[in-house]
Amino acid sequence: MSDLERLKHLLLADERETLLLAEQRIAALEQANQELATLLPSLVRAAPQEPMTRALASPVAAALGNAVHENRASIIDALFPVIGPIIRKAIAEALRGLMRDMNQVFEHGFSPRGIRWRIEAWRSGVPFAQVVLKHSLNYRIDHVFLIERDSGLVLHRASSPGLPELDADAIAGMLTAIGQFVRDSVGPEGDESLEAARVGEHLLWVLDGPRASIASFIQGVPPDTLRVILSDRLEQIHAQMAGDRLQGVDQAGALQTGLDPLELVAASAAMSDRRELATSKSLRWPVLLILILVLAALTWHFVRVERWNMRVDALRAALATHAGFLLTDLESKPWRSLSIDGLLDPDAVAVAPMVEAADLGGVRAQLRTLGFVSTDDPVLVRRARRLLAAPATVTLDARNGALRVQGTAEPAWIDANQARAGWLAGVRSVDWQVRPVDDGSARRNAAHAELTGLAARFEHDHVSFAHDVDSDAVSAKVLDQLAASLVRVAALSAEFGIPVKLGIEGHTDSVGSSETNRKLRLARAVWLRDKLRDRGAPAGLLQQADLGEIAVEKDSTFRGASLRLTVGASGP
Amino acid sequence: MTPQARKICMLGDFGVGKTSLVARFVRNTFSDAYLTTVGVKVDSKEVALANGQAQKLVVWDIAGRSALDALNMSYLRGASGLLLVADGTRESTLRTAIDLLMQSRSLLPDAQAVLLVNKLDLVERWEVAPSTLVELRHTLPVLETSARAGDGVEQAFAELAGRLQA
Repeated sequence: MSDLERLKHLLLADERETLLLAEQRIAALEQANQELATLLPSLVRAAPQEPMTRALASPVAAALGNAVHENRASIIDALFPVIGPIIRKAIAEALRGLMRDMNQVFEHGFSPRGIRWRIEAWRSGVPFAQVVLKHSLNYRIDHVFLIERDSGLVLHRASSPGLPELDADAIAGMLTAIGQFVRDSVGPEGDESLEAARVGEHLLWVLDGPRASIASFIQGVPPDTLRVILSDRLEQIHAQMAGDRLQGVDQAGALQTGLDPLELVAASAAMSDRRELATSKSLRWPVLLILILVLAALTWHFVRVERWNMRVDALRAALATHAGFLLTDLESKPWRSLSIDGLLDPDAVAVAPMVEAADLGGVRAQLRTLGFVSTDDPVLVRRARRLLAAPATVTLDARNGALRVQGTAEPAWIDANQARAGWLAGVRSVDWQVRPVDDGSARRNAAHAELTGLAARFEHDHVSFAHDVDSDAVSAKVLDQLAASLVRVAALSAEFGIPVKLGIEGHTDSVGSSETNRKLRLARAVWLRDKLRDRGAPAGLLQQADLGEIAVEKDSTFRGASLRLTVGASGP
Repeated sequence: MTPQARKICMLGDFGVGKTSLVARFVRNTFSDAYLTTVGVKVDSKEVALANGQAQKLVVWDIAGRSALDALNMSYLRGASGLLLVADGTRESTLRTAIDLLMQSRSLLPDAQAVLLVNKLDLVERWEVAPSTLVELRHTLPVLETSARAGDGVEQAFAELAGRLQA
């Protein structure tokens, strides 16, 4: 060892030893750290429960908060299977409570019992809530068991005074077994359990918690607030059992259960009282609103039905008066369907348009008809017109089965139908007033006959002359008659178109020369024409007349003038 | 002071005499019909221990089966003790009792168990050999009982109750 080494040893011996010890300690700590990771779980398990949980509470809470903050998805995935059922159960409980409340409101509001209670509250001046409470609280809790959920062992029991002793352990065990049996039978994978059972007036309520259940044996009808109170007690009991502080049958005696039956009834009544008082005012408006809505709905319904009935009645009346239709049945369901059955004469006016025209708000009426023969007067007229094929000039009318036929018609039609009219169905009698059609031939024939008569008279009515063209006194009267007759001839000929030919002839005796006589005859014819013209005879007829002389017959003594009328045929 | 109650379950094959043993031991609160409907019947009995203390036993008589299904396993939950019952005249029921004990161990690893070989009144017809019982006594307490005559019944329940107290 050199001097320097010796010196270093002398000067730094203590420090070197300290350094060596420090290095050894560091190595040991590193070794311990390496082993700690594997030893930690067993160390934690081996550590005393209370100080360990107390020590870990704060870092675990911080770590959980950190994890929620930074790794939310994993936390949600882990908690989701737990949170879902809890939320569902909470919602189901809330809905059940709501339904019970609604049931109670309706039951108390509209039932005869509810009305009776309201009258009692009005008469006594006591709030309705108190009356309801008074009548609803007729129940009694016989026994309450707090049961360890897994084993079915009784953690706590309380009974109303005066009840016979019972084997609570056996009953709790059997109840647990039946609950497990029911759960296993209904849904082994769910969290559902037997919640209630009723036998007559006796009711069993079971409220399950994670570690313990409360079973209540009740007589009568308990209010819903009792269940709330029991749930509250169960939660308090579980709070005491949390953290393994009070777990198992051995520590059950230390539990503050608050499950005394009388205390439970009192707590439930107090809660009911508060709830009823809080809700009684707010319940009025909803109840009033519901009443108004119900009344409005009923009114609307009745008005709607009445409107339908009025329309159907109007249609029924129209059908009843419809000629040729006999209503046999009418089935009506307001604003849903209308079914009409009846008998319809084929000659009656169709019913379907009338039914379709009825305002039934979109309801399509079903119309079913069968044929029949009607004796209604309008149908009788239509039938007669159809079967008789009456022309337009013939009018038909009926009254009480009496058919009246009037107008003009072809004789052939008259001959064919006059007798037939009486055979028509429904006709009792026939008043036949049909004239044959007038075509003028009769009058024409009469006119022709009159003209022929006038022509015959002209052959006898002469104008006589004493000399030359001096007519005797008698002839003046004849002239007047002849002139009047010619006026009539011209009128008849013009009216009926009968052709006539007038001839004016002069006559002489056989004395004298023939030439002289011829001139004299012509002069006499002209004379007569002129005389007739002067007396008003139609000029046209005279102008077209033939002026002629008639050859003198041997030994003739007639001196005068005459008219000769030739009448044509009467046909067109 | 009311003694703390302990839940015990009766396990065994069909017809080994579980219900008869319970009937001999306890006051019957419920009808035997529960055994066929629900599969279990619960009764209770207070047992006086040798040290002068008392132990209340809540006895779950589970319907006889050669194997435990899910429902029966749920009946076992929370049990502190098991009374395994075999029929001495049928050796197969002894195997069944052991099998049931093995199955129940998955749920009740710490439960006290006592084996009862029943029908001692028919001992002349027993199939179970005494040597077998001697072997079994090395692993768990074995008692010979007769539900008909009442022999060993009280002792069997007291034995289990004593072990629960220990």
